Amino acid sequence: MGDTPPATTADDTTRAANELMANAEALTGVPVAAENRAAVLSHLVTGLTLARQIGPGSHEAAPVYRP
Amino acid sequence: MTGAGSAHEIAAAVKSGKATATGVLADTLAGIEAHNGALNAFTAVTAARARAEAAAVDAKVAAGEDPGPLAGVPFAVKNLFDLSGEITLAGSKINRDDPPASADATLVARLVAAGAVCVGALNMGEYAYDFTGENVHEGPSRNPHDLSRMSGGSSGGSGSAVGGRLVPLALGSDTNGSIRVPSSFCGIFGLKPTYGRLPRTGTFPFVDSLDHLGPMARSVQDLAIAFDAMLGTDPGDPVCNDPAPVPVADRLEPGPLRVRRLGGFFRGQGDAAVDAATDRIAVALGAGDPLELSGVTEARASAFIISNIEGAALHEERLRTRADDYEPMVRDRLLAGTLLPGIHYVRAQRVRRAFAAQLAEVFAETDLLVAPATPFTAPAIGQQIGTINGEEVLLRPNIGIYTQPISFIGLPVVVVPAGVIDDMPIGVQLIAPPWREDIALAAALRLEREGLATPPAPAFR
Repeated sequence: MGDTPPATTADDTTRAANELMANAEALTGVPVAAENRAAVLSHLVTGLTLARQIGPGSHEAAPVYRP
Repeated sequence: MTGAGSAHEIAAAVKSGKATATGVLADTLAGIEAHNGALNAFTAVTAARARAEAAAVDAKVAAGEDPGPLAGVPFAVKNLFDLSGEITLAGSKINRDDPPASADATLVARLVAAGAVCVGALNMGEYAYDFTGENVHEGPSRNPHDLSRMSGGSSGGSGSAVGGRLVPLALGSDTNGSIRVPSSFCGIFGLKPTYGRLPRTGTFPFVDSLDHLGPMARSVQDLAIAFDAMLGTDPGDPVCNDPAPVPVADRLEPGPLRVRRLGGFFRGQGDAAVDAATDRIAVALGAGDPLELSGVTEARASAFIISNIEGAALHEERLRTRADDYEPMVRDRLLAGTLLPGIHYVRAQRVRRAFAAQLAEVFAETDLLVAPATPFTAPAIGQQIGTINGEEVLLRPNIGIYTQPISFIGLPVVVVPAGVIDDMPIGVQLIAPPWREDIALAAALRLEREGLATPPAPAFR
């Protein structure tokens, strides 16, 4: 039991989210005000959740672009 | 004769000398003055240019010249269309700093050339990223059947102005449902043409690979006449790819159609009464066995992802410099779009190809598909939570669940007003093969003639 990681707290989650958003801000150059980070993250999670709905299927053989 | 009349009736009266364009305009401006305070549909009334355009129509009639198929018809446009001398707001605060447009959008110019009279610009959701018709900068456009309810978006002012009988004709844009949702909520006809049919030159974009423009009106004939007047390519929009535009207004006599009602994803997600209204329309059109498409959930998710990423790309520079001037929810969604991995965009484009190929096979044996336009009637302004599949969910992202998978592959759609549920209108989508707007319009005309598709009178007047 000694190697069980400590439970994640709400503070940890908030800190991780802020860190993620700060990194993203640095990468994209688009500023995200601290007070907006939770909302942006929520919308990002929505997008990623929808993206996961695109599972394997016939679309994998479809072209991205066709002249 | 006012904005409460139909476009084809106004044009016939003006051409025959029974009415003048100047007189119709005066009545229309008086109606806007009297009722726009309740609806908040207009953000600008262009009375001066309208008077000049109406006078020009009357001069043509007096000289014995043909004033055009839309002679003296008042119309207004979602405020993402350029109007010469007006600032193109696109529903935003940021664009208020832009200079006025130096010319009309191509579709506006074509309507005016056909004799129509432009009376103003209409409220909309900020940068068209909206299904509600709400706008924090201008206030919400309101539903003419219950002022406490949403007009639908993002062409909310267009739905409100036409449903509220301020004008007989308006233009809107539709990326994921922004013509079809307000048409459903406000109880009017709306046409989202085939992607690439009508040029978008002189309009503020949202998602280049999904943006469509089209008319909204209270009769099928009005949609068809306006559509015909706007046909044709334009070098300003390289996406516009209509090699042989054929007018439709004179060939809408409905013949036998092979019709199917879309089931599966398109049934049971919203109110049961919506499904009942959709079934009535399908039965009236002689629909055969229900059709269940595969991959609709993926199609809708892909439309969301493409919209989010392309929209974010369009707004990247403004997000860097003017983030605080956006409506917060629009800004935060666009910021999220800057962070979505590109691999999802690539997958979404593959889904688009595969879904379009599936529908091409369907349309080899079917002329028309019938589906609900919205999962419920207009919610209350400000409402945040709705019911989908029996579960309480965030309302706003789900208003367009039935429209997104269709515009995703650019199919032409006519929304018909298919009755009322608890005194509120509900619309149904008639979906045709690519480039066959005539089929959807012909079916809509049949329903209109049979009394099954009639815009309800607005309650607020």
